[in-house]
Amino acid sequence: MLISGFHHPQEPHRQVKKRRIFHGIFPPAASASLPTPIVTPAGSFNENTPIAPPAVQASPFAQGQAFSSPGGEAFVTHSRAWHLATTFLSFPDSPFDVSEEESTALGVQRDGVYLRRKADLFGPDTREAIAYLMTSGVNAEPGENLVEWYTCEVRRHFLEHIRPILEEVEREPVAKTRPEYQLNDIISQLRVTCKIYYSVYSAYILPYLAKIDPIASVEPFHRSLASIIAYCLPSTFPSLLRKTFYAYFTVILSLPSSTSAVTDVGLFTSPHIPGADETVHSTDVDLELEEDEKAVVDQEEANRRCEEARHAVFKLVESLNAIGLMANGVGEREFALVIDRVAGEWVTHRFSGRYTDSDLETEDAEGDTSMAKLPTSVASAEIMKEWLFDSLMPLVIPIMKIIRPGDVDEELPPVLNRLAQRLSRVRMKEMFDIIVDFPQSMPGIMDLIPTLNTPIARLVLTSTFAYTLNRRLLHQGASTVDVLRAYINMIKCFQIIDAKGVLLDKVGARVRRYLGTREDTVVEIVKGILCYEYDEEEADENGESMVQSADQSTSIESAEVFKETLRRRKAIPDEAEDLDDEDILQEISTELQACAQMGADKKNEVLGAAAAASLEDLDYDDMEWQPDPADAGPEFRRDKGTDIISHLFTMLESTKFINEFQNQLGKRLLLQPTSEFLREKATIELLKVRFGETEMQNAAIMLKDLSESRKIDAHLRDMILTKHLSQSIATSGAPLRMETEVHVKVISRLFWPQHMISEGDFNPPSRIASTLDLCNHEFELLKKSRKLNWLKEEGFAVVELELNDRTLGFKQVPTYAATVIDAFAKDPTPPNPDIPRELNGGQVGNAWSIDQLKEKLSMETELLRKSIEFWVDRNVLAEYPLNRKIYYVMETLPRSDIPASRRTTPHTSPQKRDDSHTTPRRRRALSFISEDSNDSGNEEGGTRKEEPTPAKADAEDDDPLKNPRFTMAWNYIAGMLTNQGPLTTDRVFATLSLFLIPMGGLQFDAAELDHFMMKMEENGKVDKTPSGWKMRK
Amino acid sequence: MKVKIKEWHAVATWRWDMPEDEVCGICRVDFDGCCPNCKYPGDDCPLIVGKCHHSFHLHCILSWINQESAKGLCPMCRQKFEVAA
Repeated sequence: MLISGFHHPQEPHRQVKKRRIFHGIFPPAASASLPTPIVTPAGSFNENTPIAPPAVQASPFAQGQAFSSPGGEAFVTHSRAWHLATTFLSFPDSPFDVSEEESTALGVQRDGVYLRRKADLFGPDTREAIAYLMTSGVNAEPGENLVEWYTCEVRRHFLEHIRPILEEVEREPVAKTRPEYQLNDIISQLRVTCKIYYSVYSAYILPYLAKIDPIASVEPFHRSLASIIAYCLPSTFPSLLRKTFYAYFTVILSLPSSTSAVTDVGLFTSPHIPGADETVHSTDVDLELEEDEKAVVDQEEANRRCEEARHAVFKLVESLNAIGLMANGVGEREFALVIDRVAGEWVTHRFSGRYTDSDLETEDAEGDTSMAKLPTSVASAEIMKEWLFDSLMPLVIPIMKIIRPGDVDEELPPVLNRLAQRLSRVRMKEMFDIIVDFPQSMPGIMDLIPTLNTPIARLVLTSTFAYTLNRRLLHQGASTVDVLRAYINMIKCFQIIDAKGVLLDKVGARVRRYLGTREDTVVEIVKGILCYEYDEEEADENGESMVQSADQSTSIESAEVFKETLRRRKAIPDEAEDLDDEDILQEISTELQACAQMGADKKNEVLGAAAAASLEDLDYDDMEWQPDPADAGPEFRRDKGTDIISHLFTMLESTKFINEFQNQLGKRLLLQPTSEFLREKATIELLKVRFGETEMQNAAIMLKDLSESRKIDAHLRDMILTKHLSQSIATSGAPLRMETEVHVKVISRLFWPQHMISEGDFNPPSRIASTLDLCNHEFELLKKSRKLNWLKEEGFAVVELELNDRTLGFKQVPTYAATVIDAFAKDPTPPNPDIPRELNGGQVGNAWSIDQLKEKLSMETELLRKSIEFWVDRNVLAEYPLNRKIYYVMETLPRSDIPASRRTTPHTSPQKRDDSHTTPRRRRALSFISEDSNDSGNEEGGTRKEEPTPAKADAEDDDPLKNPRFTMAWNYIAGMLTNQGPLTTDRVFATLSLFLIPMGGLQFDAAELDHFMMKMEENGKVDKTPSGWKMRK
Repeated sequence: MKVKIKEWHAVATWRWDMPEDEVCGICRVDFDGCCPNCKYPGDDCPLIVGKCHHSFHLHCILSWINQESAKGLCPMCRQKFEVAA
């Protein structure tokens, strides 16, 4: 058999030539490829000389003495021996048959077919030849060393016959064969080949080498083989290996990515092993299974697969090791990469988004403070160590033992560090979330700290975070409150991470710049500073009282409606925002308090520090001086305040802040019942420390006014009460309780925000007005030569409304709104005639038109509208659908079963609608807006009703200008047509709707306008032209 | 509908009921404000009216009168400054 594999002497010339070229590339092989050495004496042989078949040439050695023959004979003998040995040792011109080799190698005999055949051919001649060459070969020329020849022969064989197979495996499309098989193909091919190479080497060459230095002589062979294999490996091999390793490890360590990794490589898809898809499938189907049962089944399945995978990994590693691909080779590299990746994945899976899971929390409970003090996060380090010992090490150590026996480094710290770094990467990515739920995410920050010791790590943190910030926070969608809240948490977090503030300086600058561009930053911060608990209580009480009154209502229906309204009210943006603001705002104010307490002793120091800040670098006696941290940015200032408040305040212009503060403080003081305002006082004291006393002077005066007012108010009330009592005893004989408690706040006009000192005028309810007059009088008696000016728009009232189906209490009603609702307590004289008693299933109470109210209360339209809106929002008043200037009291709430679309059914005739408009125009004398319609007159109310409607309609037909709805509009229309030339009705309408909305809106639609224009044409004012209406000259 | 106004918290500004000027002739600050040495207006920094009908912040005129050169004269009209009854 050997002969068939042997280079046939009569090979074609072409092949010889080819071989020569090959020899040119691999010089040693040139001498080795032919069993006959070049140095054959006397030219009796040359390369192309046919060689006698080995069977024929056994004779010279049969007598043994041939080897001992001296002189020129030795060369011949040597070359004969060489020929014999190399003929025996050389490999066939074909790859080994893997399947055959493997199947035969399975039995008791460990050698494959090829080796057994080789052993059969190993006759005594050959042995002697080899022995001769090996012993005397030492003296031979270096190129003729048999070991070297064998090495080259292996290389030749591998390159010529094995490499094409490997390349073919690579060329096969992956989809056709599963990657696992591909890998197996490669590995088994290599294993079989290597086994033969090694076996031949150890069986026929090594025994003779043993006398010299076996290990030293195996090593070069081993290295050469390993390098040639590594050189020939298909380029996909590393990734193939990596995928396979990865799949196995994810299964063994039961990582979540195992499913996809397994399917990717195609593990466990053979019929006897349930595949990953099946597992997924079974979870879908077996939902009816008991949870426990299913868990058990799953667990078993997982265990089984884990065992299988473990087994497979060891097998893989062993075979890789056998072919020299493991230690220092591609195998070890991929193994290390995969272990690293798997570890990273585990860290991500285990810790991502879970800084406070159960075991962490228990530890927290034991020693929250100790946690905070420790430089590293003990909890997560423990978890990592545990995992390392329990899961990863049992896997890695045996493999390492296979790779390099006796040289296993079981040292943990590097691995742990690596894990910790992985963890910190995870945390860096999560930084934004950590900041968002800061106090709970403390352990997460702790995970981050220990690894932040290099500039690079810090850079990674800041840049990752900056990116997330831009993406998630600094955009139009985030409310200022959100941004502020995040910024506050950011300050807190980064102060923990980096006490010097370099990192904060870097990431914070961006947020600060951004917040600077938002108008309401100041507003929100001030809101925060002025936010105290009793606001909430107040809100709650308010809500409660309303709910109670809802309960009182008899009709369930209306209660439901009411609840709906409550919900609707909550949806009103302002209020929702207020609620939302509460927490952040409190945060700022509590922070202010906390900072103050912290720095109570240092107050002067802080002030001093601020003053000395600019001089700090010149203080040459400062022994504590340290340079700025190396990675500090150019704008970094060490002396910048270190607490949150100063971070926030330095962001603002102080004048802007102080103005806003005064505004809000003022609003607040006037909307609270007079009290000591201790919190506000404390706040002002704290702010004085930051902004200086003079800046806060106005605010201090505002507070002083309030505490003065307390005294004045008490005095005035006493005086008024006694007067009232004596009066009531005088008139009715018994002391009557005053219905309304009147309180007075007296403020210094120059020191309050000027927009609050507007003297909006209206007539408060008469009983209040009289009391206020009394107050005026008493004040002048109390404070000599001083007078009061009432700010009627400021202040508030506590109002209770008793409606037919409900009682509502309101704690903070603006005075003007209270005045308006008080007017609604009575019907206007004359009453509005065309209001039905019931609308949309709700009882209709008193109805007033805006003009009537204006007349009665002498209130400006804008203020009036504001008041009415206040009550409309609270479902007390409603707009009369057919006349937008009339509002009525909803004595009972409308029925909820009438759809909103049908609620405003115009069931009155147009004539009636005209009625409400046309009649008042006759009494326009007292109107506020002259062109606008006014229901101002009331003395003629009775007669007005009796006017026959047709007559009015005619009147209107005669002179369209007398229609009040168009009187003002006509001025505009005339102007437009004169200045802009002919215009169509639509165009006129569009322009009018732009101009007239601020004046109370349009009171007609396009069709009516068209009608009006037609009338005007009849009256000779305008002409109709193809391009639209035109003024008639 | 019955409307019960239980409480009414009114707001007013106070002002000095001064016949003539708006500002103190000495410090040129509004009467309703306070003199430069005071922090709080009103009771803490009252006004004073002379017989010559010129009025000043009390603190301002006192420090004026206390000066030698003032000779007790009103800074506005150079008449003897006496407090109006």
